[in-house]
Formats: sequence, structure tokens, C-alpha cells
Amino acid sequence: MQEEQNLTPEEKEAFESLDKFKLPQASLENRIIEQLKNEKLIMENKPKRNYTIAIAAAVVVVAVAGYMIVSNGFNPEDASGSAIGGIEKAEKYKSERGETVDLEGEEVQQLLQNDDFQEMIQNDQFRDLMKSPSFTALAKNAVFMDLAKNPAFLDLAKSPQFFDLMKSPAFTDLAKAPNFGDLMMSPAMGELQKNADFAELMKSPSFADLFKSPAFGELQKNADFAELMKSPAFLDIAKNPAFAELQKSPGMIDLAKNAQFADLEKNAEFSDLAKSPAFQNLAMSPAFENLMKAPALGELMKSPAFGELMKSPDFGELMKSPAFGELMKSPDFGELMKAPEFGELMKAPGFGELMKAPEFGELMKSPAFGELMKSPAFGELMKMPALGDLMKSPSFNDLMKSPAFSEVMKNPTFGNLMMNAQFGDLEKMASIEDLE
Amino acid sequence: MDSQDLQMVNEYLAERSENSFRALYRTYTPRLYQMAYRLTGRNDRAADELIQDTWIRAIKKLESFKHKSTLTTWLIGILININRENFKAKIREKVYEDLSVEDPALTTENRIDLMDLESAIESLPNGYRQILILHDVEGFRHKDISEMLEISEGTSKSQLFQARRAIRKYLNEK
Repeated sequence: MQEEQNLTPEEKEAFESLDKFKLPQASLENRIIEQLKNEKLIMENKPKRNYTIAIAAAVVVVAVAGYMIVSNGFNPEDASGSAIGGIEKAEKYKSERGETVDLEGEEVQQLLQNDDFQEMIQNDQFRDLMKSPSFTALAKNAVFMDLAKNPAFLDLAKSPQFFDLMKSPAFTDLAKAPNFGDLMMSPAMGELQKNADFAELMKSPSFADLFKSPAFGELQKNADFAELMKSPAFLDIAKNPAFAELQKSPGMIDLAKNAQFADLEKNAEFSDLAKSPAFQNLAMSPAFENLMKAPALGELMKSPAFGELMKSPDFGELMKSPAFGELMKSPDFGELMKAPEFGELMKAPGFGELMKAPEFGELMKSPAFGELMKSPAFGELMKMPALGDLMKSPSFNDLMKSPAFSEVMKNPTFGNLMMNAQFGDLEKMASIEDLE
Repeated sequence: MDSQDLQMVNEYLAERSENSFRALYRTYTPRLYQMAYRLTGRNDRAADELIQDTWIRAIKKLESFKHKSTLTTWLIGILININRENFKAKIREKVYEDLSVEDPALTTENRIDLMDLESAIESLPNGYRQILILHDVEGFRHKDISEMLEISEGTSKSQLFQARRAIRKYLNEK
């Protein structure tokens, strides 16, 4: 038997520096799932009952209710009686403003006769919601109506991942948090959502994986992290083209994964780091050289928040995570970092607070959130200007925080109704366009 | 026993749902995929197929996973075995390359280029490549490797010896 000759330190370092993680194409996951289904090894995700639904699902119900209000002068007091009975039989109605609303169609008739629908409109909380000022204001909002008719939105609202997310306590808690509303209403957030790079990034698997990683979850609770993100020096650096280039460079990726890099502050191993191939590769890159010359970098390095963050174990863990490496490499991330809207968002008062909120961390880690972020419908939705505008509207934010809204979202009948196929069909009817 | 492994496996076995599988897949695939990629000579398509076969077999056998090792180790064992089966099927058509090489000392004056090292690993015959990846890249011990590959520890050490010699020869000739 031959004993292996020991590795030299250089060889050992080289082997340890090789990538340990690699992400396959997203399509592989779906191919495997298809095969597992074909072999009956896994089952389809079933829509779950007892949904707790928020934002976008709310938009759908608001759309329907808005439809009812403007088409029929909907009065909750008689919703269970003659008004609904009348809808079943009628073919055309006049809206409050006199437009003709076409109620023909098998799908609509099926929906109106659906038990869940009938139960929902008799529900006290639903009626309270219908009567609330924020609800009626939103239902008449043109931006909202545009969004609610969009196929991408409807696809998203009906997806199981969306329901899983919306029913999570973390999400409903977050939606009620004042900082969330502030952030959503900030102009920067609205602008950012229209940014194509942002939409692409949101869809990327590495972005979702990063948010789900325990290291990120710990980091986002770190006060220094929030402080750093808001600091002018960081924002200047983030906008620096050299920084974006650097983040995409292979040298930076290698360095970020290097254990010594993460341990730098803790173990004073900087000299070892400087000698490492990963660091030397990085140092030779033009992007690194350009960045080093940027005055903002000096400012950033001097800021206490930066120093504290670099020392935190959570930051080290994050830097080593494969999802972080993949994210850094994505062109969308680099582009986003340079976008002025992104910088503005970082400075928004609600951003730092939101990042520290436990509900935010819980939400980011939830599998449903990751799934949702990667769905094509979500990507399409994020690119829509109407969404950004809607998020900024006070009526939408008022509605989100209203107790009546929370109660309706928790109602299981409402969940059943939302998953009803005819519900989406109702909104796709061309005649709804006439209402605005 | 790893608590994350336990929770994810139990969740899958209880639900057998798409979501519970996706959770498993996303947690463990990145590490498996890098290994599959190296084992298949950095061939994306072959790595995809290897990962697909690994997960299908793993899901079929998941009930038999007893948590004596980590789930990652267990999955790597499956991956390695499938790769060996694939390789045996191919080797019937090819003559195994003789690797009786000199044992030069690696020049270490210059640092090792990682791309060259990847190429060197890629150049290894399958048997050597898997031992080297498991031991030197992934950090498994000979005891673990012998269990994964169902070989003796002595064979594992011997194969590693040959693999390192071949790697050094390749790098010195670069």
C-alpha cells in the first residue's frame, strides 16, 4: 500500500481555495421535479386553506369590490339579498357614473353563485372593509385598477407561493409596521421598482438564496449594518462604477469566499490574506485600482459602522456564503448598485429601521418568499410602473394598516374565494376597463 | 445528527410535497453540483444529469437515511456511486489510461494557478479524480471516503497517492 505524500502548504492552500459551491441552472430544479412527479415520488403543491392574505391578494379583492361598488352601487347592507340576486339575473348594469357594465358570461355567473362568494359578502369584517374610507379611495384609484387588470398580477395573486407568503405572520406583521409603510411610500422605492435591473435582480435565484441564508438573517438585524447602508460614504461607494465592476470581478468573488478574509479582523491575519492568490488577483484588477483612488472609500473605511460591521461574525459568514458570491457576480446587481434610485432608497428613513425589524428577517427567510421572488409573474409585476405608483399612494398604505383589512385577510372563506378560477376571470373582463 | 438535516428530511417525508423537495434541493445542491461538475470534467450537461440521477435516487432511498452521517455526506455517497456506475459503463469501451508516472516534487516557487489546478483535476482518470476531490478539495477523511465508495482505507490512501503524483506532474509540465 502506498501512503499519500503530504501536501505542501501551497498545495493545501490551492485546494482549499477551489470553489466548494456552484449553482446549477434554475431549469435543472424543475426538470428534477417533473421527473419526481412522473415517478409519483412527490405530489403537487396543494393550495392551502385558511389563508391570511395581504397586499396583492388584497388588491384583487379590492378590485372585485371596486367593481361591485362602481357597477352596482354596492351596498353591504343588501349584498346578501336583492342586490346579488339581481346580479345573477341581470345582463347589464349602470355604474355610479353611468358606464355600462357587461355581466354576461358563464364565469361571472359561476362566481356570483359560488358559496364562498356569497359567504364572503355577508361577512361583517368584509363589510367593514368595504365601508372603510381607505378601501373606497383605493378602489377608485386609476393606478390600482390598471394594476389589478394586468395578467402578470393576476397570475401572481393566484400562485401558491404567493398565498404561502401572504399567510405568514411575519408578512402581516411587517405590513402593519410603520416603517414598512414609510418605505413603501417613499418616492425612491417607487422609482426603484420601475428599474429594470432591480426587477431582474429580484428574480435571480442567488438573490432569493441570499435573503434566505441564516447569515444574512443575522446580519440584517445588526445595527451597524443598517447604519452603514445609510451612510453617505457607503452610498457614494455603491454608486462608484469601479465598485460595481469590482464586485463582479472573479478576484473579488474568490476573495470573498476566502476564510482568511472573513477572519481578518478577528485574527489579525491581514498579512496572510495579502499573500493569498485570491487577494493578489484582486489587487491586480483595474477596477480595484480605480476604487482605491476613490475618496469615498477612505471615508467609508473610517466610519465606525464599517469597522463594527467588518468585525461582526455575521458579516464574515455572509461573505463566505455561496449565494453571496453568486449575487456579486450577477450583472444586475452591479447595475442596481449604480442606480441613483437605489442610493435614494438606502437613505430613506424607513429603510434602516425596516432592515432591522425581526418581521423583515423572518419574511426574507421564508421559503415562500424565495419562491415568489423567482416566479416569472413576480418579475413581470415588479417591472410595472403602476406597482411603484400604487405603493406610493396613501390610500393603499392606509388600507394595509387598517384593522378591517387584517381581519378580512385572515378569513378562510376569503382565501377560498381568492383561489377560485372564476375570480381571476371576472377581472379580466374587458368591460371593467370602462369603469375608470 | 444535524438538526437542519433532520428537520428538512422529516418535513419531506411527512409531506412529500414539491415545496419540501425544493427546500432540500436548494440547501444541498450547490455543494453537490460543484462536485458533480468536477467529477464530470467540468461538463455542465453531464453534471446536470448526475445531479438529476442523484436526487431521484436519494428521494427513493430517503426513508432509509438514518442520520448516522450528515445528509450532505450521504448525498455525496450516492452521487459518487452513480458517477462510478456511469463511468464503468463507459470504460468498457475505453482502455484505462496507465498512470505510472514519475513523482516529481511540485515547484512551489510560484503560487498555484487555480485554473491550472482545475485543469489538472479534470485530466485525472475518474477513480483518482473522485478520491482527490473528496479528500483534498472537500476535506473528507479516508474513513469517510472508504464508506462512501465501499473501498478499504488503504485503497483510498493509495489512490490519493497516485492522484497527487499525477496532479503534480501535470502542473510541473504546464
